[in-house]
Amino acid sequence: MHTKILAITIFAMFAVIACTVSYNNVVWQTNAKSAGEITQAIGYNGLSLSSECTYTLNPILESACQTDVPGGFCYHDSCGMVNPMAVGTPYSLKVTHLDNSTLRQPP
Amino acid sequence: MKAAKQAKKRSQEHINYFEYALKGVFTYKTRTFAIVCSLVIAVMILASMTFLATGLSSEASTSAAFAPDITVENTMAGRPAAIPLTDIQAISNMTGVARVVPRTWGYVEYSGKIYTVMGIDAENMPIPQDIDFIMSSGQFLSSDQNNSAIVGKNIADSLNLKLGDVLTLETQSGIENYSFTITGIFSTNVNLYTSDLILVNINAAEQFFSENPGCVTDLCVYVTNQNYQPIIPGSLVRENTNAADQVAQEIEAYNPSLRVLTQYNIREDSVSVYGLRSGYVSIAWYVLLLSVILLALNQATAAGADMRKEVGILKALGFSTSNILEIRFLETLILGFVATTTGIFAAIIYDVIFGAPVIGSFLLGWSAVYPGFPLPINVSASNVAILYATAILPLFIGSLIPAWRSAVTEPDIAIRGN
Amino acid sequence: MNIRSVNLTKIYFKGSSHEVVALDGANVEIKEKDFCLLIGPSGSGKTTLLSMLGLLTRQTRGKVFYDEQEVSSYSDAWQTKVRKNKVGFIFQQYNLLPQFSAWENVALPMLCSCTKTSERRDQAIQVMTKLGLKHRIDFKVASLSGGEQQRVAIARALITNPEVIFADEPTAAVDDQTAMSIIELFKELKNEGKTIIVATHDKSLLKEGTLHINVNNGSVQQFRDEPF
Repeated sequence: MHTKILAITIFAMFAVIACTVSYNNVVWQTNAKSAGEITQAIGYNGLSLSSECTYTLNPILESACQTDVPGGFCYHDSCGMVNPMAVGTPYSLKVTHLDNSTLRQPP
Repeated sequence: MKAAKQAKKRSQEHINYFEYALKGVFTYKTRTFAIVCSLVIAVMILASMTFLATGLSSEASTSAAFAPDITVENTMAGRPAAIPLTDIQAISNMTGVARVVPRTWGYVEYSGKIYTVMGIDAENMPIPQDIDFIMSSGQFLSSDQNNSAIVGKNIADSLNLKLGDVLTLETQSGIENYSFTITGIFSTNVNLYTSDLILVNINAAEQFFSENPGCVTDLCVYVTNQNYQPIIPGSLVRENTNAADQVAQEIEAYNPSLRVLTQYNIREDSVSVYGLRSGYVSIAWYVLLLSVILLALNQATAAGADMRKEVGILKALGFSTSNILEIRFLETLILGFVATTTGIFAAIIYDVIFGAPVIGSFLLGWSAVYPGFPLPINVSASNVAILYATAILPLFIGSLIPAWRSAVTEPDIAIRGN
Repeated sequence: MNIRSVNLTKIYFKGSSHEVVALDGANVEIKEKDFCLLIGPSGSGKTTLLSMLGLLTRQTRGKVFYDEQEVSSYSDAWQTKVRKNKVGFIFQQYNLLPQFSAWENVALPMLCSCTKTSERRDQAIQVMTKLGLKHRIDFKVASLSGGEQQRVAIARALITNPEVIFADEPTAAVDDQTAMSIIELFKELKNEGKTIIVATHDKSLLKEGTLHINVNNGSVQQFRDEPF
């Protein structure tokens, strides 16, 4: 009885893995098309991650700094800092909706 | 017919051994539990890291494959600097250059978040015909829309932006402000590239980043090729790669302070970054795997007295050494398969449902400046197959020697326990 | 099947300070359908002789013949085949596998053949019924009495219909009634034409044997008796 329950559980998990793999193939085909279209349209753009500057991962061990690409936030003198905030003049945003209601975001 | 019958008979023998092995797994409960638990944890860590790292690597590699043949940046004393428009003309006149398209981009910081503002020359960029595939609403930028902006889905959601809304960026002093009408919102398909992106016309961007009038941030250089065919990852190198390299050398010779990145450079660089990041966790996993091998070896040896006696009985009853080895290997296979399947399943739950909380932070860096979005997870068939192979093989290695030693022992000696 | 040994010798830990000569130059000749008894006190070498004749352990010197084939020089794989096809072994300590039920232990020798589970079960039930174990078919070994375990061990030795049955002290760990039933069983098997070789110091078995082999301090003397 226990063996049967275990066998069913394991094969159910395997089925989930198999379905995930199949779904993954479909998703990545769409992904490839999307990635291709956006890059072709706007040129190479770094992944929208919190930081591609490898120093922010491990300031002690990382020794390389990825090339300065859009979204990379990699400044040669700020790579050693965890929070690369040196981007220049700070801005505030104001959004004016189509119905003329204004939403000012607090700084 | 006879051969088929014989094959069926022989397969029954192996089925019998499988049933015996299954019972054996439940007999030595402590050994089974120790090996399975250790392997589940090890596989789960490796699998979740592999899925995430492969996802990031695939994304970076795929996008790099569609990047311009050459991207040119300028440096001054090692720091990024703007490229004067005169360089555009000089590069355009070089042999092998089809066209040069400038970009202007930079960052704005607002309330702890950093957004990328990018201006492109919509007329000259090779925008695909079906570009609207990546738009969730509105249209892609066109060259005559000077005060229009397209934003990523995350920005739209966090600022509650809709088509027709006006986004105004104001400096703290309130002196300068720049208004853009939202004419398009990118779809979630491209969130990884556009989550922080505000895309505008290059003229508007030049006004926005007005520190260097007459300068741009970088150049997208396309070499001569009648049919624009980007390099697809894994495929053969495109025939005009040599042409891109030659043009790159020519640009470097023209102005050594220019940083010239071919598509190949970008792709290799982005892949190695994610490879390097995942390398640290891989090292930790190798240590874990070694522990599993040692554990399997230790448990197999510790349970040796009972196992040896069992082997002695089986040999006395007519089981050959190969039969016994087959039973032992089937036991290992069952343990390995169960543990690996559980580990991979747990990794999928951890990555997909919980968003890989700890491993994700390690791989992506700890500065949390963006709203969260689903990370790219690549649960490919090859990843899963490699995980099964690399998890089960160490178990085989760890149990091979004790199994062999017990299988070749004389029945009488094994039964007596000498 | 005729079994013969020539100068059979077994030395444990040879060359070391704990060297033990368990058997020295044993020459035995067991004919087909013999009920052979290996008699001797504890530690005399009965079990060692039994093990070597049953190909469970290799001799230090000497030879063993099955129907004039020198089986003692066979490889491990061939000896295993001989054991599988011709020999049934009943151990002193029963040596049943605790993870299996009674019928599964009985059917164990059939596992390395191409027999389905249902067929093995049917055959095991048949043998167990003959030995009065029909009511214990699915019981785990631990819930069987000593006598029942011994009968399961006997059933296991018989299920492949071997030509020779080796039994090591089959009545040592059971009560008198069970011992009597085991002796009766051996008599039946002998009448069926099987060769039976029993190592024992149970005197109640003595009168049943057609061949007595006295084993004392590693030496062997063979006495062929008239059948009763």
